[in-house]
Amino acid sequence: LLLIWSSIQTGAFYGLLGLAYLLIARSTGILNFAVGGYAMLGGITYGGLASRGMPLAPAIVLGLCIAMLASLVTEQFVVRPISNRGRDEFAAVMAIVALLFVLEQLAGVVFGHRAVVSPRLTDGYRRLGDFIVDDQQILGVVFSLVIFVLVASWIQRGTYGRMLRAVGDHSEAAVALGLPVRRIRLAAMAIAGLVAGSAGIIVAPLAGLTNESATSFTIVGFIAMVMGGLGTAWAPLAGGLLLGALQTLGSRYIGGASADYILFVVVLVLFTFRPQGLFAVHLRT
Amino acid sequence: MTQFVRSPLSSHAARRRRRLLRTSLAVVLLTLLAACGDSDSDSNGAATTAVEATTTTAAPTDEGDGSDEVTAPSGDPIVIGVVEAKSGGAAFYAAQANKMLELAVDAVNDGVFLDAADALPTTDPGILGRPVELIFEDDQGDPNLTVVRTRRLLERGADLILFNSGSSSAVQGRVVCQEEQVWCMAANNVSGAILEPPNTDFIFTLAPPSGSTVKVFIDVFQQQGYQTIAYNSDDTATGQLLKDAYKGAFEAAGFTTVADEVVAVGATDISGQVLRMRDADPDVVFDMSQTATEGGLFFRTSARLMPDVQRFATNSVTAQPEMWEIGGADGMDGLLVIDNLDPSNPYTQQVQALFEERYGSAPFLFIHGMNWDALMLIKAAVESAGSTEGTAVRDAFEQITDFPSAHGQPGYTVSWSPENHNGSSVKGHAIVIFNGLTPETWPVFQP
Repeated sequence: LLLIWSSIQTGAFYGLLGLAYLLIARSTGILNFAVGGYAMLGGITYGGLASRGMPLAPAIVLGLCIAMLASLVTEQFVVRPISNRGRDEFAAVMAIVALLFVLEQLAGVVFGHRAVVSPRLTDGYRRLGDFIVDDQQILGVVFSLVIFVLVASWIQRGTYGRMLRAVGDHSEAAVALGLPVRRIRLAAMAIAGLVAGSAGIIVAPLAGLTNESATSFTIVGFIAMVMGGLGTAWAPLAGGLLLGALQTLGSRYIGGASADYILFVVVLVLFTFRPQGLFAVHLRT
Repeated sequence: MTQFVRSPLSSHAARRRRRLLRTSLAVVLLTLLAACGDSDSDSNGAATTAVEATTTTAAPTDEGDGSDEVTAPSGDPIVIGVVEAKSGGAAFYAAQANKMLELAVDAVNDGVFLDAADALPTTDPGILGRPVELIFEDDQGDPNLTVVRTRRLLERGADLILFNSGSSSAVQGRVVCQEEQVWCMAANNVSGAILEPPNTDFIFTLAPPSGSTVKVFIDVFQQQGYQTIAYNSDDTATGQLLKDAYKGAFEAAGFTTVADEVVAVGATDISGQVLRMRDADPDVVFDMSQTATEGGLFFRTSARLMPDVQRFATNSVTAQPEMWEIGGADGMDGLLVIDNLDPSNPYTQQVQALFEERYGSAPFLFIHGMNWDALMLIKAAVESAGSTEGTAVRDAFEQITDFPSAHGQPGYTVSWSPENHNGSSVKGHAIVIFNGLTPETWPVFQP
């Protein structure tokens, strides 16, 4: 039971990061490797401000705002200028990777290079034999699910959400149809920033964050997205849960040192035999 | 569809929105920078009163010179060059060391020496009647830069050098000390390589070396009757190097390894590793986490899943209060650490009080104690030598014996000789047990 819970709570976190990837990939067609940076910024801003005495609610809001702002800045000042010069996606991705390191260093300058400890919203935990679960973890999983429901509803029913699917399916056709592609992209980037920032804020009290957490968040979010695919908003959650289960069970039955190797083997196999992930995008022809 | 066609008006509005976005970004960033710029000074609101604090604590007439008149130091300053690391793995330690050095320099200039007063040639403010000044060069924790930075300090007028970066930096920087015949000290570095020939004539160390720490662990484990050990480490290069060193030494001493778990940096859950450890049924768990996040997570999880197994850790734990916070009071409770700071040492308590007057309730670490000692030792050696000339200071330093120390166990003293440039002894270690988030002297066994 403990291992299942561990898989769920880590998987939900990975899923949120994957969801941020998905939103950006569906709207811009670009893999945004700065997603881990947004998550780190959200979490470290929350932790940094709250540990300096700011009440939790405004610290959380500021954390979310900073993550969203970072995402919008990426679109406005990195992705868009490069896209305007041509269709060189490689250049945009490289610029985003550079931005990830800029975000890391910026967070290091502002919050220091040591771990930032974030206050917990609740300190209680529940025990049932071996099964021990933090109330903070329960809150994290519940919030993650709420975010998935909201984003999935937005994509399914929201005006811009439905347009997002259109833009992602065929951006030229969307432009030809007169859809407000730029506004849709901005909306998607803003929501992706909020989602990633939420992930950072959820995980920050559980294990602390450093400015260098951004890189590991970027990697696990990417793997969750790849495993899940881009087919639906729920796909990254499936990928995240699978990733969480692999990591937790691998650590338990193979050992922490070997678990990562097993994980990468699974990812390689998935890339080879099902690169579209568990839930692929299906287009009507 | 026409609603999506951009008009001149909407283009103007878009420009206005862009300007607004940029302005908002600038305002938010500036607010953040202002709020978070300097945690040391805003953590207690008392940083600006530091000089007042040392002055009010200062009682020169009580400190041993018997004079009511205190002459302020004057003349050319004695310049201590500090090689620090503002980034990299040693950045935190260097920052903490610098905090204490700045406090200790003010104390020396104000004539405050606490328990060191009896061991000093004079208790006049300053050194040789001259004020003491610190200058810094950042080697970014990169040993390849240390030589250049050390030379730069000498070009800027440093009379003596302190290495506050990593041990590897001290190993590189000591070459400059040798070539330029300048007295140097790596106060809180623990690598034995610093004092391995060649180029060791002018370099001194203060902290008990890592080899000494291993022996203390072995003594404690044998005294407690442990036979089987489970190891926890993170997957940083330093964590794995440490693990190999400790594990090899423990196995050579006859202990059996029953589990060896590694936690990836960035992990958010380590239940799997801790359950494996528990299955191995060890007598003792030995943690070598180098990073606060993974260490804290380990203590929190292990306290819940294997509460009856004794846990030991290196002083990476006591050096990183963030690790305590992440671990939580329940997670840290009962953890034993071989530290270099004994909370029951009266001299330590004096220096800690001075530190807290300036920096508030920030945790007092062994690094602070060692760097206070470094300044007192510099005063002792330079005043005995009568100058800052490297050979004279070195010779004077080699004559220092039984000098009181603000770290280590109560009554612990440090001594050097021409053959021994590390001043420590086994009493420089102190075993502490966490009572919630508070380290306390372990009453059961001390080396």
